[in-house]
Amino acid sequence: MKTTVKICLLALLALLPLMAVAQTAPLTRDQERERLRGTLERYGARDDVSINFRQSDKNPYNFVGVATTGLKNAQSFEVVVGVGESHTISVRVYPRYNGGYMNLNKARDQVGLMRKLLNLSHHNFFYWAADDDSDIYAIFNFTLESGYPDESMGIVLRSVRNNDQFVGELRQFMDGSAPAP
Amino acid sequence: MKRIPQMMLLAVLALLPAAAAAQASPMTRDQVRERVRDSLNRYGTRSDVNATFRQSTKEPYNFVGTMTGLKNIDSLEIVVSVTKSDTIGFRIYPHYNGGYINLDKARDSTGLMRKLLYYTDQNFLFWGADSTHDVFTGYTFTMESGYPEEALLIVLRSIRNSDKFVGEMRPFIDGTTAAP
Repeated sequence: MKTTVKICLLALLALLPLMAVAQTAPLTRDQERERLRGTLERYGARDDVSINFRQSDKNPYNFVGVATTGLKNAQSFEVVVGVGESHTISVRVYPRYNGGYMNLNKARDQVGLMRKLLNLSHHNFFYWAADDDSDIYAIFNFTLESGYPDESMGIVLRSVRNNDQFVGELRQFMDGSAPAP
Repeated sequence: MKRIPQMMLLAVLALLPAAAAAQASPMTRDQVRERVRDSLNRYGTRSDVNATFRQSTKEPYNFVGTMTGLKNIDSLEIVVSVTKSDTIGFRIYPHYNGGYINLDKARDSTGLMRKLLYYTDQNFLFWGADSTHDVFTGYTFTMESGYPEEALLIVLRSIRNSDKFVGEMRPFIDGTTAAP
């Protein structure tokens, strides 16, 4: 009897590494969303993130939060974290500036603004884009083929606020004002 | 006496999961470079990637490759960089009409820039312009969650799609239309 117990124990221990590997098997989109929900709750509560995320009413695969603390140039950042259809997660950061989104068509120097945005994408961690309405935002995309990027998500969420300094650099093109000191 | 080997076996098996987890611990920049070298050698030979990469002589943490056989562009120059800050960066420069696509040389520079910013909104790879205003498409991996072996292949296989987007840019670059 003792031998049987030992064999079972040995078999169980031998299976543990396989179980660990099994955890990295592709998740469904719903599973990815639930992992993401947990990640956003956990990291969102950190002082260096400080964003309360909620699931979007319009799109159930999006979570939306607002960053307000520690910003000098933007009034706030609207952060949209979306689970894509093909194993991707995008983190989009829309700066709110002077009562609205920053829009290409409303900029005082549109050409200068676009040139600056494209060059910021060369130098920075986040890259910049303009959506269908020409509202501009910073974005980081994850692809999940190598597993769920929990720690990397923490790094990206902690970097959201850093975009404030770049909004400062964009101000001259938006309305001719200088970055906050 | 029989119990000692059994206990040792139990201990070894118990440590296996920990050993597996240890593999995911942070790598040095040199270790990452060697993993990248191996990945690029392996995936580069696939028919859906088809690019030969070599280590840059100027920058030892860069690998450079070229893709040809495209409809709208002469080639794609691919630069893969292992950075100091735990990231792997891809920069893909389209070669068009004998040179890089440059914002300052485009027939409709404003239209081109607007298009590039919109592509970043719509697509997997982002678009940017470097310090000399040459246009590129790119992707950045951050490695806090481990080395992105499978994801690297996804990016490498996506690079050829850039040809289609350059085709759509041609009206802004020189007024021509995309290849059929």
